[in-house]
Amino acid sequence: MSETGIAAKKMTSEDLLHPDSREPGHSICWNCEKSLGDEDVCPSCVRVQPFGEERDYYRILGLPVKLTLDPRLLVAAYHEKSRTFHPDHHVGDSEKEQEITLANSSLVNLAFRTLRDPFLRAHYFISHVKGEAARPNRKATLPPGDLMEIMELKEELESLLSAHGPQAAEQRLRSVMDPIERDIFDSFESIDHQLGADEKDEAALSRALATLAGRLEKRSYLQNLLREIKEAS
Amino acid sequence: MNRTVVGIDLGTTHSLVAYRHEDGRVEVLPDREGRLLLPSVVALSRDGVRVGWNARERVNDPETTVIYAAKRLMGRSFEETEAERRHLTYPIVDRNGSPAVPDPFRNRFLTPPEIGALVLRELRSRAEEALSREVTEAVITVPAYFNDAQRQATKDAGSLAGLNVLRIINEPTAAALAYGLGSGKDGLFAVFDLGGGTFDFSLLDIRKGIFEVRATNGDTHLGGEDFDRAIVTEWLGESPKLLSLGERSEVRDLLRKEAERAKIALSSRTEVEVAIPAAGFRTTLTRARMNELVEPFVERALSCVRSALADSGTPPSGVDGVILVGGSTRFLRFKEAVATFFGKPLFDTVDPDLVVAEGAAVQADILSGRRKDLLLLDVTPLSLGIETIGGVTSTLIPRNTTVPAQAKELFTTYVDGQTNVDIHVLQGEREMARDNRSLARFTLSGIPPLPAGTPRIEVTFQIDANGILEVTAREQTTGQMSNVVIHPSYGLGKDDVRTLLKEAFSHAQEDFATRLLVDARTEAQTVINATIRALERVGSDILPDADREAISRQVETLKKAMEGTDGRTVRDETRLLDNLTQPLAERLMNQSISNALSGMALPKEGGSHA
Repeated sequence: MSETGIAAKKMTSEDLLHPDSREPGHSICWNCEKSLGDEDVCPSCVRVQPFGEERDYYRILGLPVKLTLDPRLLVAAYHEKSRTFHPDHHVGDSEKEQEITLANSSLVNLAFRTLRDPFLRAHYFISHVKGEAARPNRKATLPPGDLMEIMELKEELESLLSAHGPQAAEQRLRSVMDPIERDIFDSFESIDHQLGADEKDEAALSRALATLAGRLEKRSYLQNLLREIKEAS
Repeated sequence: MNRTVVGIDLGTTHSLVAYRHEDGRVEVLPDREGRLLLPSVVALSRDGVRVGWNARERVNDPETTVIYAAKRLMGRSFEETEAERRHLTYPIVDRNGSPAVPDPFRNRFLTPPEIGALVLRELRSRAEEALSREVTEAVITVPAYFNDAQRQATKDAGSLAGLNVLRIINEPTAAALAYGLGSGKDGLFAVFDLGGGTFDFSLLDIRKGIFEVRATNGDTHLGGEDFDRAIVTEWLGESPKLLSLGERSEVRDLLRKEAERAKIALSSRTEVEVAIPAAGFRTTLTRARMNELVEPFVERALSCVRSALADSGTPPSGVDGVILVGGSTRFLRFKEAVATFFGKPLFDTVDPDLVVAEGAAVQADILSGRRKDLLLLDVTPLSLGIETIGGVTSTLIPRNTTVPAQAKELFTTYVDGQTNVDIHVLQGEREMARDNRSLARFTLSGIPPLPAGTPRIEVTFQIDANGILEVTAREQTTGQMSNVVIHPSYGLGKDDVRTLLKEAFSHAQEDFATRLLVDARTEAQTVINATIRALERVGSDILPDADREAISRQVETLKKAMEGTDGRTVRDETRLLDNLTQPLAERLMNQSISNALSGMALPKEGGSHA
């Protein structure tokens, strides 16, 4: 039987693991086979080295695994890696090097894009700390209470939108979103602190992460509402 | 030995080539006569193919096909160019879904990349002469809104001209490079590029030599020509007599020229007198009134600006400076509106007609491997994804993603036992697939027959630094793979085109009668088009009704002959029509009205980056 489907249905991307943070191992340079350590560029023959699947976004950019990131440090790291790997600085290199720079700079861009946005970063962070795959596209599941609240808010926004226009609706939505975002940011520091502590309270930490995950989920629902309002205006 | 890489601004009306010398001096390379601009015009006639200034001189020669503004056709399907074709006076035909210009003198059709190649070849030889060495590599600029197919077509034009196109870069980005931003001056800069017919807005983040295009937005039909039209409409409303005369294209053209003159005059004065004695028309246009007239266009431009800012989460005050590009930015009201909107200094000291080519030369210098202090980070202008069940678009790479970029997603089957999956690659922001642009379609086969929803098909999008997209579909259990580099959606793949051309050519060689017929039909169509245009623009004062009728009858006769398969008949009927219209052409030439016609086939100056 040979059946052709016009379109393929999207599936939850559980198996699309983002790279987890396995130790780098004893890697050697693909070109001169000298030992590499953790270098992006071989110290002996100055060839760029592939990141490999094992490298997580924090390590790609050479940043500490934290929820709070100094945006200036983040940008500086991004630029440094871009200077190293961007294909423009490898015009005329061998085909192998071009391949590496294309793959690496794609990952550098993805890492930066993810870590730059505090909410995407928090989402990635949680999965990373738990050693799970980040699933940005999976169906969000909200507690029934939250879901109810959002449904009611949605109705309220719709009537606001038709009666008073998008600005009024956006204002109302922001009044719900802003405190949630504040709570999210507030939890960043304390979670970073707990993770850095010598004696970790695992139970407290996992509670804090679960709370953060719940808030992120709720915010992403609200974010969708915001997008709908913007599209309607 | 360093490579010689030049920067090229392949514009709608004008093109330029520039080079950055070893000493850091950027030079727009002149031709032998010292001219910097090259009109993007190609003239086809019996005695040869002309490019540039020589081609533009042929504008009113009825024996010549004068091709201009071919950039508007670049990388687009015949269907997509419908609106553009209405404004172009040379014949454009549908060749396998792509627009092409018949060259009846050489029995061939020129595609937009081939036309672009003729202009590029001219620039290339100009550069070789000016630099006294071979030039085989280039950076070419395109508008920020150009999609993949348009960028690819521009690259193809380069290849056809014997140039290895190292990079396609956005015109506004080039402008920032020309201003030397990046070496020492950090910040977030806006580039406001208003040409004759197009508007581009970009937001550039410049830090320690790294250029990042944070967002782009624009309007492909907004520019100086719109202001002229708005002024003309105003005048037509003032005078009923003018309104009735305004139906005639030469009057309208005259009005447009007057409007342009008035617009330019109002840059230095607050009001201007306009008189068209022939039409008994006299009026005063004040700067205040003109500003009111262009306000809707200012608003349209600013709304593009606002969405670009919103996309990147930047308030106007977050911008450190605004770079002005394109001839229409000389217009005061826009300068004012931009200055007010951002409240920031304007960069307007470099000639807005040269600034893009100069910037292309800077990027060319980077890609020649000579300097690594600058790096241009670019983004995809439009979202990329595939079609899923129900005709819905599933986005893999959202717009404004920095390239190179890679994205992977898992998909599955919808029907039990499904062994093939169609991957339909889309570009655009719309929810439904049919509203987006179709880039490619390919099939992954050899999927094991399993219940619906079980197979795992990994789809990978990889965009390289040039924004060229490669899509791979892989069935995870069998490793069955289908890998497609997306090549132009403006027609067929390169090899297909080559095969088709070869077939067409050999067929025509075998069959003389067929070639004669094709040739004759093309010529006939050209003559018919020219005749119809002429009939539209003359009144009974020049062409007696009886003559008009005779010409119309012959047009019909010729059209009938074209439906037949006898090339000789078509050719004879074409000659007859030619003879009938000959006296008209002479009379037209003798009329003072021919003055108004001169140069009307070309768009206005000031939009060379449109």
